[in-house]
Amino acid sequence: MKRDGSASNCGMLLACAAALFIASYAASCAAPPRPTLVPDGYRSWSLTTNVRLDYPIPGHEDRYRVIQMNEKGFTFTRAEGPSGRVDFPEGTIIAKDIFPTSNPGPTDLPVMLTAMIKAPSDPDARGGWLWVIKDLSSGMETLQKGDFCVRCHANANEAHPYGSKNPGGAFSDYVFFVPGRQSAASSTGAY
Amino acid sequence: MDGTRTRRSLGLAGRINLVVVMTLVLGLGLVAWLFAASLTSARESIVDRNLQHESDILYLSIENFMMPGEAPIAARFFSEVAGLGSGYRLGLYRRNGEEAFSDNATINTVNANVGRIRFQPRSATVAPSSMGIPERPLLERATSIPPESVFFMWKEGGKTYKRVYRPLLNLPKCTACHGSDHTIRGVIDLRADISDTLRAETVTVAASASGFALMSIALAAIIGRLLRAVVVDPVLAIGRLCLDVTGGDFSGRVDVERNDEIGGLASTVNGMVEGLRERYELTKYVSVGTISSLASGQDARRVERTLLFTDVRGFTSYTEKHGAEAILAVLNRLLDNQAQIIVGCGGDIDKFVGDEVVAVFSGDDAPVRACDAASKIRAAVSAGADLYDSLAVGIGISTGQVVQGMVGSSRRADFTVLGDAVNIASRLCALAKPGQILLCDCTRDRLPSGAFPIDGPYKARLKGKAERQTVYIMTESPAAGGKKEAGDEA
Ligand code: HEC
Repeated sequence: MKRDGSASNCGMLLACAAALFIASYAASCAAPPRPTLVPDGYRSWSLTTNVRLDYPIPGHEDRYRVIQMNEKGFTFTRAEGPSGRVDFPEGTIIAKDIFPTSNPGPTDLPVMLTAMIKAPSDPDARGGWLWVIKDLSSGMETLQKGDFCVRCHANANEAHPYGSKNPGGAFSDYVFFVPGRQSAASSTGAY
Repeated sequence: MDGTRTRRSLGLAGRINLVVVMTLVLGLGLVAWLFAASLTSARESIVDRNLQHESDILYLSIENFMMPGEAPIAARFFSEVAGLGSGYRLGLYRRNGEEAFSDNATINTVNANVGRIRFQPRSATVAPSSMGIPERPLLERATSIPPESVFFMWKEGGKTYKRVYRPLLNLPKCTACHGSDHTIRGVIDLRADISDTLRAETVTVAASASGFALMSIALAAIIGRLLRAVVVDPVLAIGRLCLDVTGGDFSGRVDVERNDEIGGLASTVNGMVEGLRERYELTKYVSVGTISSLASGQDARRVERTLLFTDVRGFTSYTEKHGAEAILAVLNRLLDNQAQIIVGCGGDIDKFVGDEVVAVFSGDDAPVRACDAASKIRAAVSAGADLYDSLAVGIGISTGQVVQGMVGSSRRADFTVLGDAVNIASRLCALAKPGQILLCDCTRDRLPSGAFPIDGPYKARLKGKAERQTVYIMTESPAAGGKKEAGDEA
């Protein structure tokens, strides 16, 4: 009897330890799944630029790109005066289709989507935006929690070689192609 | 078989101790392991955070030197920081793994991109200090899309480093010089010497582990001691008592004055031994035949037996002249001596009736052994005249068919013998003079001739018998012969 008792004590200890482990792992893994970030109908949104984006850029390289933005985004504000600061409202979605080649035919479909979603209060936001890569064949969205996207896009807030080139270095809310600006400048690319 | 033996030799205390030690080792081991693991992960996260932070600062410094086109200043800054020592090592690599600033490759590309000689190619290129970056797969992971800082352990020259490959981006503002055909320019390779930290950590873990081990041993010893005192020793004492009882010694007691289960067991065992002792004492008052009949069944049987009766002559008048204690002392000495002789000759004491002994002999040589016992009793009693206050016994022996079985009530019964032979032996005993041994003819006929000095035949009148019976006297010396009357020579 004695011996059995001791053995089961021992087992109980192990069981407790195991339960503790499992509980702590489960707690660290349990995060509520996010709903779809970029809605399917984004291709019906308006474009942010007429520039033909087929020239090579770092980050997206030399594949043909099309940028569209939801209606909310077009209500962005631009400060009068010399600062010309641009701010996009919360809920703005900018979706950039990326095609497989620099000169796709009419039947070629984009393979990838990169998107920026304005959500300043989201803990995963960097520079006030969520940065998303979506694989269009699988529909899988990946949130970029590092500083990869935002580091490069910080260059949109100073003079840069694209679109309007932002010669005054106005804060542009991390967006390179702010509608209504680029037409004035001769971009690196062509129309 | 061997296994059983080892197990048994481990003992109760050993086994309980084993379980205790195992529980302690597992439990405390788990705690020690968790402690070590949390220590390591805390240290790792601090070192990693520091590395990340420092590489961020370096990144920004390089970026800000590069932008105004001050690549040579960046290179000098870089080599000076690298030369700081104090546990940190620094390197800068292109994304193909070549060391940066080691040759003119970048200068040539930049000059081509800007369309003029922006930087003078170096005349003597710095010899690449190594075979390029080690751990290529980690470099590839750091420079993949999306890029990430890759941390890893690195051993070199007897030292342990935490090392990071921190990717450098080809930012839009870099493209004017570096071109737009790539996203990642390369990596900053930064390492921190953590040998001392690791050593301290190992010492801490080893110290706490041995502390835990010592604690386990101490606890096991204490618990073992306690178990020994509380459980094992009393159990062993009870075992020894049982062994003593098996060996016929009922005098022992277990000395455990406690109110718990072991105390209860001890007092139960003590009570049991006391009960056994009483029963053992009782067997002295019960004939061997009774006891063996309990084992072999109690059916009545008709068998041939030799009966031996002895009786102290003149005992009634002796009792009138002496004190009770003296009487009992003498009688008991006398009965005890006779009983020993009878048992020694293979007889069974059937009962003591006052100063009378009734013994039964069985087997083919029962008459011989009965006569042997009788002559020894006579010799012993006359030799011990001092001890027995000169009292003497008369002895009667008879052989014949008897009925053997349980006689009495269901509460109190004796396994005894009934029959003519019993009566004849009793009568012969009554007839015998002090020191005289009388045999019936059936007994005498079964003795080998010359085995005992026999006198007779005589004719004697026995109570309850119509005819005079043939009787023999066993003399002390060889037979004198002649036809005489037994008893009063009536
Ligand atoms: C190395 C620089 C660089 C990196 C890194 C980068 N981008 Fe861009 N991104 C650009 C440039 C330049 C543009 C301008 C449009 C173009 O030419 O495609 C742009 C445009 C965009 C746009 C359209 C809005 C705008 O700024 O005009 C989105 C959306 C976008 N990028 C998402 C991302 C996401 C998501 C990531 C991270 C996975 C990312 N980018 C990483 C350089 C970069």
